[in-house]
Amino acid sequence: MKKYLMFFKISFENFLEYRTNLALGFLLKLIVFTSFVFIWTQIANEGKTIYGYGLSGIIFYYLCTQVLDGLYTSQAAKLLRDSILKGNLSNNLIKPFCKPLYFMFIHFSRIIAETLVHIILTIPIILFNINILNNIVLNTNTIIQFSISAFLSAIFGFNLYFAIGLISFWTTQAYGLQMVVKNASRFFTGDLIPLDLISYSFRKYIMLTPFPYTLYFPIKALMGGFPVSDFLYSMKIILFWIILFIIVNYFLWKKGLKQYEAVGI
Amino acid sequence: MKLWEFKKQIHRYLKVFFRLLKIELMTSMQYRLNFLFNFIATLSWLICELLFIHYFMKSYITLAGWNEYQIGILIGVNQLWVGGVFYFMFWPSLTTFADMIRHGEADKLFTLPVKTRFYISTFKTDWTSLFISINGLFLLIYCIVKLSITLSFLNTLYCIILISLSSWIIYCLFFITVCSVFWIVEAGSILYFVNVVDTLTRYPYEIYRRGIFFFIFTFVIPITVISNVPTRALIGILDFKFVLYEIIITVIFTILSEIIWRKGLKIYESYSS
Repeated sequence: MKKYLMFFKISFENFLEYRTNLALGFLLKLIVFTSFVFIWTQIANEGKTIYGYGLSGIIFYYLCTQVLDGLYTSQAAKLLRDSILKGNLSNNLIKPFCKPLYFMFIHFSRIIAETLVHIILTIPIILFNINILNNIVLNTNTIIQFSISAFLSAIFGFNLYFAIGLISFWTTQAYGLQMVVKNASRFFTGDLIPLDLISYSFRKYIMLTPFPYTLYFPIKALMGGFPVSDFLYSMKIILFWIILFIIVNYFLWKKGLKQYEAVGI
Repeated sequence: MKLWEFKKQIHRYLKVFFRLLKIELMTSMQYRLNFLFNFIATLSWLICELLFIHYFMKSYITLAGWNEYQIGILIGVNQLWVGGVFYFMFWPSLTTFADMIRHGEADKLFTLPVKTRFYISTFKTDWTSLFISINGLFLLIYCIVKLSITLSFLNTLYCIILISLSSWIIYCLFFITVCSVFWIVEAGSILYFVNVVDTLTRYPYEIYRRGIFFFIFTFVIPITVISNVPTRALIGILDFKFVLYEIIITVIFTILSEIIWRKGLKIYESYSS
């Protein structure tokens, strides 16, 4: 375990080394966030009701989507793809550690570094409108629900992107597939609109996919949480998807290694 | 320069341009699976965006007086220049140029017997980005049919001219951003600034008319004119003072980008080579 913690530490420091770039990236995301603020402010100004949120609630929701954005996205696909295509994976294969675990610890170090930078940069916005914090409901229930759902979101994000990275054993086109997944999931994660604002008939199907549990669910947990039975039911769904991806990844890794030639492309 | 010399120059540059396009198309066709993935990726992006607009409009009917199909036209027009010009040519060429500067590989570009600015803006193309435009065109046609708008020749012509101006503004804006590599080398996230501008242009400009943001989004980063003005021309609700404003902005950004480019070239030191 010690060596993995060392990977975590080195990688964490490495991410913070490029903090200016991280910060700039987040500031650009904040400009996109302002477009949502404008849209919903316009709605509020027209005297229309934002069901279940109110203007402050919906702005807080979108702010959280930007801050927690790193939870679900992972560099695992890119790291793995690069190491397979350039043949660098060979260096790691002869070293005494579990390769998928190595990638997972790097994934978590990136999440923590990125989220920290995001939180620090969000402070001025919060200070500008301190009332926005009233949307957070802090009690044991919400803290537990948020922590568990955020953790599972990160685990799922890693496994999903790791699977995409593993495709590089067979094709050089894994980047295209990554873009497909990234683009297709934008709506279903709740990144564009809170999922409780869309019709139930559609939402009940979306909730069976893993995507709502990566962003929408942790944010809603922070904003008041769910009844325990609903929460447990949702966690069963995301756990099912995580286990499924772990199994798929296990077989992809085994099969992929068999045909890996370490030529470097 | 005499007229025939000018014609000869234009002919020469067009020849270079089409040769580059052909080379890039042949390169792209080597990766057919990439074509498929890019098509699915752009389509899924658009579907998600439309789902957002659909569910949003289902609850609120209009946004700043624009209904679902009018916003659909706005997104369609946006996709035309985004896919047909920006991601097709300027994005791949200029980001490659920024990479070459960073790795000290750009020297050879300055020795070619063509204008460097022309070459670095056109030497790479991403043919798969045309799917973005095709999707946008279908969306545009669908929304026009739904709204039963009869397109007049003049409105369509205005729209095409204004899309060209908007594309040029975006090009200049991106070119200025890329020129930052002469000063800071590791531009990183700054290069994505134009993607943010692209996102903001997809909504009616009335929503940005608030306090300081009105000033910023109109006079500093001209978000309010880029997709909005061509769309308004197409559906026949154009205020001509915005056309004048778009022309002024185009001239200003053209001059500004040229000044920054020349200043950048002066301090270029061929880093890391």
